[in-house]
Amino acid sequence: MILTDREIQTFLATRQINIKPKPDLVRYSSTSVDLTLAKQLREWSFDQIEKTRGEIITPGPKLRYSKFRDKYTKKINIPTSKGYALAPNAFVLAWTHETINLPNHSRIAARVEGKSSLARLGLGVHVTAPTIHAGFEGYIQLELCNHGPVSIRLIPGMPICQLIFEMTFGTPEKGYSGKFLRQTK
Amino acid sequence: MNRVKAKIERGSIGSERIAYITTAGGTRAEVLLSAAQTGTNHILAVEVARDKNNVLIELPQETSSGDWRVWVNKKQILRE
Repeated sequence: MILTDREIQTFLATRQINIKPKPDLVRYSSTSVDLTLAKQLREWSFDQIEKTRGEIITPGPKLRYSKFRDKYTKKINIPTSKGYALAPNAFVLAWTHETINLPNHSRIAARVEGKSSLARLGLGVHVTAPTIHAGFEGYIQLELCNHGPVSIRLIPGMPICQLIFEMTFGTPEKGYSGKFLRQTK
Repeated sequence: MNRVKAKIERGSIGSERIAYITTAGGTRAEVLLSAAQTGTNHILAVEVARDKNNVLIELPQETSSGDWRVWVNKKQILRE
């Protein structure tokens, strides 16, 4: 069951969903709320990629993603006025400006999806991983890719994605353990 | 459902219309709609909030700048 704008606002008011800073009324649609782009992103370090040409990543228990990320990407602060031009076929890691918290006991999960206005330009916001699980807390990482033929200017604070909230059928196991862990008779 | 004043142009296919709505802030919001969602000088939209001078409307589609909702001056509302 997907939450409507009214339910999202009720859940925000009762702290069953937490979004900080709180979205303005114009950021809602009937069944979603928009989130905005943070100032920082990580772009690929092509010098490093060139140096290690031929290296193959092996996903699995031995992969240390944080080391991989730090080795192959560099942090960029997007200039507020100029923005960041995402070239055709470029892929960067970005974040939402807002933090999200979906408490386990709320029985809420969410999906982060793109916006049609940006999709028409060729911008994708995730690579097949849109699920925000119950219990999630933090900034949402976005995998931005320009599938279009023209560079797209990314500006901090621009609406970049939308969140769709869904009620779960029951309470997840971890929600029970969290809620009742310290309960005494 | 409200009728909201807009400039309507023909789109790239037969049933497509391009609507331009003047926002309360003075900017022009562009939205691509189907002909059924527009008239000769208006679009259909839903009021979701109101203050002294302006009305927050939800559009049938997302604008080119990524908004589903825009504030318009209440004079833009043709019929309620």
